[in-house]
Amino acid sequence: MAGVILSLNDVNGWYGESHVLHGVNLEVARGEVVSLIGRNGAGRTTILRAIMGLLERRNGRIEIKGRDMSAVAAHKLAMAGLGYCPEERGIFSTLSCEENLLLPPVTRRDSGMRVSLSEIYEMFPNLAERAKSPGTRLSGGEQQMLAIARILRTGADILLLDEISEGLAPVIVQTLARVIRELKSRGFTIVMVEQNFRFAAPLADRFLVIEHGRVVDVVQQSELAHRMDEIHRFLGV
Amino acid sequence: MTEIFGVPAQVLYGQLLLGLVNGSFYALLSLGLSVIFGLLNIVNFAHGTMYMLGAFLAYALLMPLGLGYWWAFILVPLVAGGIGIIIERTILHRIYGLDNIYGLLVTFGLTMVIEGLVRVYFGVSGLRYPVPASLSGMLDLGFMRLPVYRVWVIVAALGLCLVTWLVIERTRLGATLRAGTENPKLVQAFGVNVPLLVTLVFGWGVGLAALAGVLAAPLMQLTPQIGHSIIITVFGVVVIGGMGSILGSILSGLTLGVLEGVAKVYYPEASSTVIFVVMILVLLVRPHGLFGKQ
Repeated sequence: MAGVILSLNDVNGWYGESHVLHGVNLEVARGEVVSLIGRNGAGRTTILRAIMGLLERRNGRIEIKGRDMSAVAAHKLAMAGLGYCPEERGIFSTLSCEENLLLPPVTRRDSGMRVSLSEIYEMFPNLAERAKSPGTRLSGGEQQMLAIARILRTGADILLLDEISEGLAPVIVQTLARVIRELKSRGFTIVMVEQNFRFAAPLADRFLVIEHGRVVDVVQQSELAHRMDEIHRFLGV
Repeated sequence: MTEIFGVPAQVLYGQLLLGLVNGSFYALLSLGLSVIFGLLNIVNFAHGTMYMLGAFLAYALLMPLGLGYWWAFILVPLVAGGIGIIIERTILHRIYGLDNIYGLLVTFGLTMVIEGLVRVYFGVSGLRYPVPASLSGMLDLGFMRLPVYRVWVIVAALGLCLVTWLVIERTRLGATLRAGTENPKLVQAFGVNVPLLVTLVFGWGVGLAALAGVLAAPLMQLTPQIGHSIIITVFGVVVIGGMGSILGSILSGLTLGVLEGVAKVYYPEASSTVIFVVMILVLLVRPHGLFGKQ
């Protein structure tokens, strides 16, 4: 694959004694939107956590922009351009909306991908209105917007988004879909975990099917229509 | 002579002042203890020992080296903070993620070791640290006379608490600290060097405890046990204020110090237990403390 920006080679991961990732291999090209799909417990979120160095134990090789980051400390991964939006959103209750937004340090000032605060407020007007509200007093949709917005400020160009549409009203989900399209058009590389296949289907360039902690199939956007039955079987729909 | 509920006003005011002085020490110590618990999740039993160490370091600077109170006020927190950083890097970082009991046991062991070293070097008989000349004398308010040094202790302690509160509640660094207390792994994923932050916070907490020791040195007989007697009360203060709550530590420290002072006037037998009675009541009504979060 040309222009690979993120690759995992034979990555294994554990939660305590439980072996949960079993030799994950994947590649993501610059500017690509990739969706990890699969049933609950298949290991999709764990793959994102492994990339971010958040697993207690993992091995294998993780490369970002050609550099081996397997042994790099978790706090240094953000410097390589990773931005992480966790499944539980990770909004801090003791911080206001604006403090949450400004919390992640700007790690890459020269990346050209940094979204300014004014652009963020243009993209998510609600966040400007609720700037002084405690982070966890925001609605679910606003919290999700905040979780995405705060990593855009840092200069990250590889976004790992975990279940961003989960539990949100359809109108908010549409807004998020619009944001993903805009980010893609700006050149961001996006890896997203999505249970809501209808949300991910029109957005992703490729779909990596995850089962039992490994990538078992790859579906291109162009193949989507004629492989839908197969995908539904993978998802247990 | 004016009496308030059967007690001469002068006596009551005197005890209120003493209560405020003690409350200032409780606030300073519980503040450090609370922040360390919030970020490291370690119940630092050695915190009282660092207070004791601060007082003895001030004494050591004065006696062999001839460096007086103001030198101690600057140097002791730095030296003690450095010792704290070494302890965190070499010992405490090995027990993160384990049950709280390990932290309690390790810091209890540290208390024994540090106290033993102080006992070997300084002996067990009480030592006197003089009140600095610039802070000696009395302040006449008309209705009562206050020792200048005690007023200084209250002002300095409140100033330190205020600065700490402002840094934690009103700055970007403080926001990072608060976030680190809630979810350190996510903060790390954002590119913040959380292990370094933890080390510095521990060093700062130890420095603050040692500074409280410097402030207290001219007010007491210095013995290696002074940390023991205060740490149990400070644990009570932290529990009442709410583990991890900065404002709770400061307010409950001051309030409970005053309450203890008032108890000494009206019912002296209860003065040493009043804080723990309040603690039991608070735990029954609000198990997470007055200002703590569930």
